[in-house]
Amino acid sequence: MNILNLIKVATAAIKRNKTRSFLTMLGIIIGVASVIVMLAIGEGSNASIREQISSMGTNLINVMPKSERRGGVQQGRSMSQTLVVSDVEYLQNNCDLIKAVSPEVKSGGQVIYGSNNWPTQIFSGNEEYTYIKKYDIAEGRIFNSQEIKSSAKVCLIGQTVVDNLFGDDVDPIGQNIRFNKIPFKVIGVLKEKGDNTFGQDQDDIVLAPYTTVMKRITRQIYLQTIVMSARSEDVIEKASTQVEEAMRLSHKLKDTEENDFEIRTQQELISTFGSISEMMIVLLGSISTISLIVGGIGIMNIMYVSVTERTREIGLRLAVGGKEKDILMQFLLEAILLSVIGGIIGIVLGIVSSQTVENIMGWPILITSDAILISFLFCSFIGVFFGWYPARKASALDPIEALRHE
Amino acid sequence: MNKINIIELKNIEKNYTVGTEIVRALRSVDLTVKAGEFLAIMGASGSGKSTLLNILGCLDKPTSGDYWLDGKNVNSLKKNQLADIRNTKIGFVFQSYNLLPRTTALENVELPLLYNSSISNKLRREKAEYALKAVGLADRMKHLSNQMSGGQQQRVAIARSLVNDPVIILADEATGNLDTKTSYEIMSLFQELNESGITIGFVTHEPDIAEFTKRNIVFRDGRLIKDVSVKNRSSAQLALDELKEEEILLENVEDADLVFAHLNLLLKYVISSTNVFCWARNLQYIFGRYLNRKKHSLDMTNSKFKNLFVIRLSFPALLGIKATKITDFR
Repeated sequence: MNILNLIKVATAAIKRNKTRSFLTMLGIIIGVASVIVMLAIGEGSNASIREQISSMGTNLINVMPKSERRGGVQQGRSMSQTLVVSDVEYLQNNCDLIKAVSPEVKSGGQVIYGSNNWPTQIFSGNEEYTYIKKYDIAEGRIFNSQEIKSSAKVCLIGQTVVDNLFGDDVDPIGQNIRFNKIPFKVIGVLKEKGDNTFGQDQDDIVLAPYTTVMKRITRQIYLQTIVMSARSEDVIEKASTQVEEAMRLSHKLKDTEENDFEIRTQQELISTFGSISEMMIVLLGSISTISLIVGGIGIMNIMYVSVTERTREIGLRLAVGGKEKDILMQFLLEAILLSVIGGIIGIVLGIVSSQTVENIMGWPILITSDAILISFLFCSFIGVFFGWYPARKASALDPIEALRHE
Repeated sequence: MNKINIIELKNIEKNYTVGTEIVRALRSVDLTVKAGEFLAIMGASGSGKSTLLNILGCLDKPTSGDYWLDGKNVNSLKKNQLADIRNTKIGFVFQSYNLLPRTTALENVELPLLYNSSISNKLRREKAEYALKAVGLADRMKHLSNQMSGGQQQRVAIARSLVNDPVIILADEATGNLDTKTSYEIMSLFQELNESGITIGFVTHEPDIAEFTKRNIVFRDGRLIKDVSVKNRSSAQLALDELKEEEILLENVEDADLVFAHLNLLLKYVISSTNVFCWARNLQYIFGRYLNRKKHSLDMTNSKFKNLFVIRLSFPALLGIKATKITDFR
């Protein structure tokens, strides 16, 4: 029998038993749908974590002082005093894979305007800070090099600070605010950025030149962090090695000495958080794979029953000239068709329910073509794998016995 | 007449092993069937007639002996080659029709041709339609098999057996599940097909059905014990007409008309029937029944009994057909 006729015969057999066919497919439908939904949720959360991390900065590389032990007590990072402004200059001049470098010094405090006040953090850097940390300026401008050099008391403020200090009718630009009693002139407002991955409000910020903050607020010559942007995403790792070498040279460390600083790249952060969501994907994926396999066993079960039930039909087909191969192919094809049709329905159902989850629960959803392809291939495989045994049994029937079967 | 041998069996033996015992289902059977024959294979159950049919139908292989089908020795053929032989040379009709459920008559008839890859879709459809017309189901092609009566289903099955232009149609108790009237209809169809030149092998254990064929062979304990050609072959169409007349009468006769109807028919048959002996036996049978009922003091006015009285006296010709049934009553 040629393949076209075989498909015709197999579809006719499926159509003949609509309810049973549907029930058989149900396992596969649910299995595939759950694979799609689970992967969509997993991939969605993964993608949103990536996006959030990358929103923290442009190809970000951070250099931090290494935390030290003093008399057996591990000290906090901010206590270590190893990074200085000359390091920033050294990195600027010696690392060609780095596009922008800025020192970072921050401190907490109360910001006051008129009768309003608000607890916030002051961040500081040079004129490239907003580029590195992916802040956009909504209004006004960033401080220029002249203002940095002269430790000018100017600042930019985030939206949260604007909301808490100024009423709707006041234009923040040009106003004087005080941070820990030191007056700052507002020269710009930062564009709203929202919370980061760790739930910190990125708009709750006052941004000032690092020179001003070091002189007036922290009163230190040491930096807390050096932040920088690599030229592109691909060179982050290379750039990080380059930075490490440059820092060692800048700190004049001997070969035997350990680094007195630490380098963190955005990529590491992504892979740390990525591994959590990868784990989640694997977990969710394996649960739904199990349900797919159960669905496959369902198909095998029904096909097996169907072979027994249709023994006479098989006998008749053999009697009128069907060969073993034809019977085998027919039943195998039925199983494959059942699982593939089930798979397609499952994919549609999965996509629909993923969208529903997104709409109702507000979870980030990402349906990848890989997920669809994989579940589809897996279905076909299940059809062949679980269809084989009943089909084999059907084709091995003796026509005389089969015709006599009650 | 020099007709080709469709089937030639030489010294066929078939043994089964059941447990440790060897059952000899067929013992040195020789048989030749020529084109155009209408053969009834008879015998009690276990006599080997089904085994013979399986071998004739290339569903089973003999333990020893030679079998030529349409001039070809099929002993040496492999499984798949046998399937091809079944597909192109043999048509099967079964007792329980074996139609695909919830499938149209047309699709059921097309089935054997699906397994023949040399037949195009168009030709397949044409052949199936032609076969269905041949069995008188031209107006029921699109009906589903489970919406048909037993007789119609068996007609579809016969159309299916015809569709591949076989050299022989093998029917296994094809009337076994049907009532008398439908049986006659089916036998009439077979006779018609046989008249048009189709060779038919027909397994049955009903002698009255075998009367419609041209040649009866009888098996007992695996041996072919009797091979006779049927003289005075009954026409199934005629038997059917009589049966219909009987039915019409049964429906229409009122108690009051009973005597008139009886006398009328009696007169007609006494005058026309040459078979007075049969009539006398009918009379004797009814008398027996009458005495029996009286002995058990049963109601004499029972209309069924009255009708029986009418039929038995009115249709002595039926006795020939129903000889076995009468013995059942005794």
